Amino acid sequence: MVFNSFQFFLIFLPAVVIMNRVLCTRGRITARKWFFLISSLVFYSVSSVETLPILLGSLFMNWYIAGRIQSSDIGPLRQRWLKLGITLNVVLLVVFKYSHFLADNIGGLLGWHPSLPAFVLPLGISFFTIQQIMYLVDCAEEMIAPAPLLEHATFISFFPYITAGPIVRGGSILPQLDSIEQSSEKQLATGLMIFIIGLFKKVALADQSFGRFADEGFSAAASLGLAEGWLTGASYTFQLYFDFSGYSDMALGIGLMLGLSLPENFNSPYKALSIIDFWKRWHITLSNFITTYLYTPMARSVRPLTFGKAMLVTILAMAIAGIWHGAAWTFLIFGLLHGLAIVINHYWRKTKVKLPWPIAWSLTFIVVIVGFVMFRADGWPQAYAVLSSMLGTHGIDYHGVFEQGGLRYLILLAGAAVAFGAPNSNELARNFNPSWRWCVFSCASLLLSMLMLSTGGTSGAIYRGF
Amino acid sequence: MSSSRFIRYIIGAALLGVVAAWSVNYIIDPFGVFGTRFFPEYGFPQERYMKIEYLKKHPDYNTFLIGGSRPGVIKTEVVDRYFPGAKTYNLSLLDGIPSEFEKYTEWLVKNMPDLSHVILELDWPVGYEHDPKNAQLNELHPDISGRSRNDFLLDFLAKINFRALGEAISNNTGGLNQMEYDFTKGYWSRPLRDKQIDTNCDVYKASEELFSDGKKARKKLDTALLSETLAAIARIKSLLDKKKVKLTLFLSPFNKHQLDAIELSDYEQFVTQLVKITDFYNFMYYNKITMNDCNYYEASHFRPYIGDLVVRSLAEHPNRDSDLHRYFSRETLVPELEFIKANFFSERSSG
Repeated sequence: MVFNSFQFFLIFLPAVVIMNRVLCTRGRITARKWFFLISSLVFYSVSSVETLPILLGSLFMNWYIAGRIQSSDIGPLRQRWLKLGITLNVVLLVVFKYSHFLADNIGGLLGWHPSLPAFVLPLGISFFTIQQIMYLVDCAEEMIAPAPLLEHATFISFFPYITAGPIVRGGSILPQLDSIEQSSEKQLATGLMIFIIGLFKKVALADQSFGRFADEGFSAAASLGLAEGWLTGASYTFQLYFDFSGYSDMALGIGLMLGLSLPENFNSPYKALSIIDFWKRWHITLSNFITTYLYTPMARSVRPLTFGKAMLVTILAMAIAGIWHGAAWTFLIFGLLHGLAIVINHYWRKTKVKLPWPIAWSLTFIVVIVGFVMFRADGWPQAYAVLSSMLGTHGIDYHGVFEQGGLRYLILLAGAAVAFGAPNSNELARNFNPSWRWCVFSCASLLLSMLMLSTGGTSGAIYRGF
Repeated sequence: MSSSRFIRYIIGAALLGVVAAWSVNYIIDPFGVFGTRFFPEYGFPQERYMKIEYLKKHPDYNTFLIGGSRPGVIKTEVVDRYFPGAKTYNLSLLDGIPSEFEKYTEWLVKNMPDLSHVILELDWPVGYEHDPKNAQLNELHPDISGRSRNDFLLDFLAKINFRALGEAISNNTGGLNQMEYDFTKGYWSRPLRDKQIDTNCDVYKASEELFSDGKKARKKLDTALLSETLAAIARIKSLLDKKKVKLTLFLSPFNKHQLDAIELSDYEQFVTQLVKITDFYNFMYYNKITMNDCNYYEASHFRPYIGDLVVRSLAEHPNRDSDLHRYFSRETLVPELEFIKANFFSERSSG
């Protein structure tokens, strides 16, 4: 089940919101947690019942290790439990997500070709694994106390974020599960409005507009002209943004409707004037994970930390973040490219020379597009074909790759204008006050999204595949 | 505006959207799955569903015509006339592919007690891919797919298909594509197009953009698709042999533009492997029928009277010579291949 499906937003979500309000009104804290857990497991099972045991196994394992961490004195034993917990989580991720990739590439180099079983990628494994690594670290550093099994399971498996984020920390969610304060009508209305905006971004802009251009372009990668190459790269760049930020908006909206505040994941990333700025605005919860749980420990381990070492650590952290997205060289190159761009950005900052904003913005956006071409391509040959067409190697004339239709291009321009110029969902939510204008806008967006869903079908969020 | 009023309006809009979509789909019923018949003509009748629904109520047919959309114009009365004792139903499927022919044959074997003869039409295997635009049309009947019936119908209620709705409106207002369907027999026709072609074929051909240059669209045969096709045919043949049901297989009379798109080496490969499974009648080569665009609605679909000729050829072989078909068996393979090579060479070099 995905958020952008009729069964979710017409049946599942209303049922959960109504039941939550009933339980809150009656002050049933524990029943509410059980209800969240059961609904989350139902939500998960509808999409991926065959991998539910993996999720449950991971939950039990991390709950147990967190308990052992707490019961151990601060010192080597606690560190050993922490290391064991992190290792087991990473092993789980590697087995299900990377084993074939490693066997094909490293095994291939060594002339070793093991026959591995065809693992099904557990839904949301990348998200619930790093969420639990963060949780164990926070427990070991006594930032939070380990939660009982019910709370732990509910926090990790909670349906608004288990499949595609945002990546949440125990410290922000667990206290909210213990609060029985039900969402106010204003919060409910805000949540509904944010959900509709997210739905519209996902369905109308990502799937039905930019996604189609991107699919047409990438499927004809070898025959793109110069402008078509750029249109292909830019289309996917916008598709990914509207897809992922739309899905995150829906998650935030659901959270508000259930009386929970989830962390922001996007802050108008395409308005960024540098690549460092971009990563403060793009997939913010992942950026926070990279900074706090990857970069910082690695930087601490290479003392004395010089500027050069810090830059090497940055590249390494970004490479790990890249490959976290998927088992493919293109994701690794994506991470390395961004790592390198951040390093260049840091060196540039040292020169104290400030670029005029149009140049700074253009350079940043070009790096973002190039990175996302790597991200989308099904392999290096396709990425190379699109990137080389962006350099005009297939000719600078228009090759007629895209289906014609003036309206399609107009919608693209409107979408781009939204990404570049419009206030983002978080800003809208902060300033939201129900009004007729908002009501008409929300109803129209909802009906249009439903119409497009009805005619174009439902597709999962891109990040659900990670 | 209060928050509660805002919420109420949003919920109202969502319900309105659902009710509107469901009403339009239910009343216009462009796929014919609800059987409402407020309008006499369908848009795109869901043959996979409607034909099985009809047959469930009428299990007394003994002869079935199975294939893609091309044999959809073959009149069952003609089959009944040429094959004595036959009571025929046309079970052709738009966009039909061999794996579906197999599933529908299995269903016939289980559910049609008098089944004695299956006439199976095959296309050139390059075309055996479902068009995603026709996803709803290609949904199998729930009894065959194993899906729940409610789930199947809910899909048609909730999804809006503008193409199908547009076609339904066009068919009910006398548009050119008007198709007349007879689900008591299973075949269709396009009388308005027939009239237009008969009035002035040259004008019709000029207006029909689908009569395009096949040479430009020549596409190599996908070996995986070929293997799947042959495997499905072999399983159908085996199943029917086991049940002592006669199988008559024929290759469609392809229009010259589509013949032009075929690589001769692929053709040889296809027929050589097919004849190992069963004998068949081959209408797929250049002849006076396939060379004349006026015998077709567009490059894909031949007109009903060509269907009559096909049935006659099948029924009267070998007692009556026909320059419309060739009979392929293991014994005749070599000379027939020589004929096809010469036919392709001569027509393509002269064209």
